[in-house]
Amino acid sequence: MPPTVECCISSSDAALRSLADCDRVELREERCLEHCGICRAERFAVVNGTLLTHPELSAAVDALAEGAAGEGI
Amino acid sequence: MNVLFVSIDSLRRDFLGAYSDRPEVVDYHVETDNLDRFAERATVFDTHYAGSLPCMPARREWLAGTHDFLWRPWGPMEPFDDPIPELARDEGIVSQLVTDHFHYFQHGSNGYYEDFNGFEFVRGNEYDAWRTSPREPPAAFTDQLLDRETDPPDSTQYLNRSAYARNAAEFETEADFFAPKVFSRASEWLRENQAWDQWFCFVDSFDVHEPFHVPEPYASMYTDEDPADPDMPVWPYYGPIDEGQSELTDQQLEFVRSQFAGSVTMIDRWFGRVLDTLDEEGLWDDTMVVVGSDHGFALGDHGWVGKNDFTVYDVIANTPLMIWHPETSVERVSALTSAVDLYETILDGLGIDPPSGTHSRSLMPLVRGQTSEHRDHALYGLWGSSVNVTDGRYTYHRPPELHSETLCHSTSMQNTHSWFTPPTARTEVDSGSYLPYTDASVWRYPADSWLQHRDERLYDRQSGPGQSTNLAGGDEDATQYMVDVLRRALDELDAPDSQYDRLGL
Repeated sequence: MPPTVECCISSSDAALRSLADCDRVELREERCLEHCGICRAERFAVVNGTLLTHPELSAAVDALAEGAAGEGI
Repeated sequence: MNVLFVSIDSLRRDFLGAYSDRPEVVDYHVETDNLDRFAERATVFDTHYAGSLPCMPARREWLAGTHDFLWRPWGPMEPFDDPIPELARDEGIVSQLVTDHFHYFQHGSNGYYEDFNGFEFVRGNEYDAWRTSPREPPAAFTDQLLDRETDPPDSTQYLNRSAYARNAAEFETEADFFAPKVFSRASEWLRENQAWDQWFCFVDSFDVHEPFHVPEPYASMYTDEDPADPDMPVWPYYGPIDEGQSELTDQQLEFVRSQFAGSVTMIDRWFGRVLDTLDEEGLWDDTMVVVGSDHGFALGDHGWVGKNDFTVYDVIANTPLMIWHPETSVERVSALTSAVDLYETILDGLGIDPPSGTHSRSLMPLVRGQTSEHRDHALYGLWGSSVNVTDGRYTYHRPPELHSETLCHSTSMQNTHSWFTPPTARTEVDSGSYLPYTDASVWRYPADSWLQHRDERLYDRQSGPGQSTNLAGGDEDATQYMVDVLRRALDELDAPDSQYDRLGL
């Protein structure tokens, strides 16, 4: 099962959106994931159910884009 | 004529005996004796649809008669609106709001309660910014409400679920909970205000809306689980039930359903007190009573929990509506009706001439049996995503084009996607008289469209109950017919040109 990446339309960016073209990732860009307090402060995404912010998020996105398929995330 | 309008938020109609022997998602009957008692007296609407979603857009439809979602998202009353309580004041009709709906007091939601002569706000539900102590709310209860990683109890961030853990931490008896308080206050208001010549009372219950936190006996009424088990959630995150932050085990999903059902039964019992008051005070002969909901709530239906993030299926949009009027002569109405129609219906009941140019049409001719037809189509949806339309048989769901924008039209600078955080000061805006229903100038600014689904969807409510088979494309005639219905519906409302562009029409 591919890793699931959930992000808000307000907090996603080009790197996150580029995962939409990656077959190994299930990217879900939602209007709002109900984490507005975090979203207001910094970029975030929920990867396999775990909320990540910088620097863990950037590392996870890079790993997913390079085909690490979410192991260890 | 007086008008009592009762909204029960997120009330799925299949949980009501008046609509279904048992809900779609459980194998047990849910007790709703008092709502059923009211249904026996009232006209029951079978094809009633939400319009603008979710909570506050629905309230602008009800209270101002504006089909909101083609032009703007969740937002305030606009200066050019004519809210029912304002019109009632001008006619010497006293008005009252009784609610535990914190949305009235959050960013971007101003203008809804201010025109009532009185409003009673029962504190504490959902994210209500009420109690700040204890700093560490009870651990087991907190674990049923939130993920500590995303809603740390020691954080001051917006939309932190820990607020509810504090607000409800000291609840001991059933009477401490929200629906009991709201409906008790409503009953008291009815008893205490009959000296007025005429009144309008809006009882806006936030329950059944999550969190589905209920006391005994309701918490154990429909489940054998321990209702205080920290692993059993009472506030599920929105999303698919099989992945991501919203993932639920079968056991957890059944528990969530049981707590929703328990909440419905608790509401029903306290709603019954309002009916008792109408009986005891002899109010039925000069009171119109409207009971409905803004939208449903998916409890695993179509693989989802929540209401905003997926195709606007009937479990969300086909809402309950029941109207009692002394001139009621029809038991059931099959005609297609829309949430925005409640505006003129309530004004009709109050004897107030409706303003011209709204999107509302009174339902009273249906209630009186003067007609059996009402609308050819009804539009519904959330601003920025799919536009949905039904003719009563088919539902058609048209997503926006990938990477398209949606224009927001408002006198305020709204936070278009994150509704509950402070508004965004915008620099790149147009201004002008863009709205077909007012000459007033508004700001106009773009935001990204978002996708509830990527593909065009068409469902036949008659041949395929449950909306499980997508006919779009496969049934070309029906698809083209509903595309034409959508165009006609947009044309009739003089929808923005940008809507046609973003929908690829």
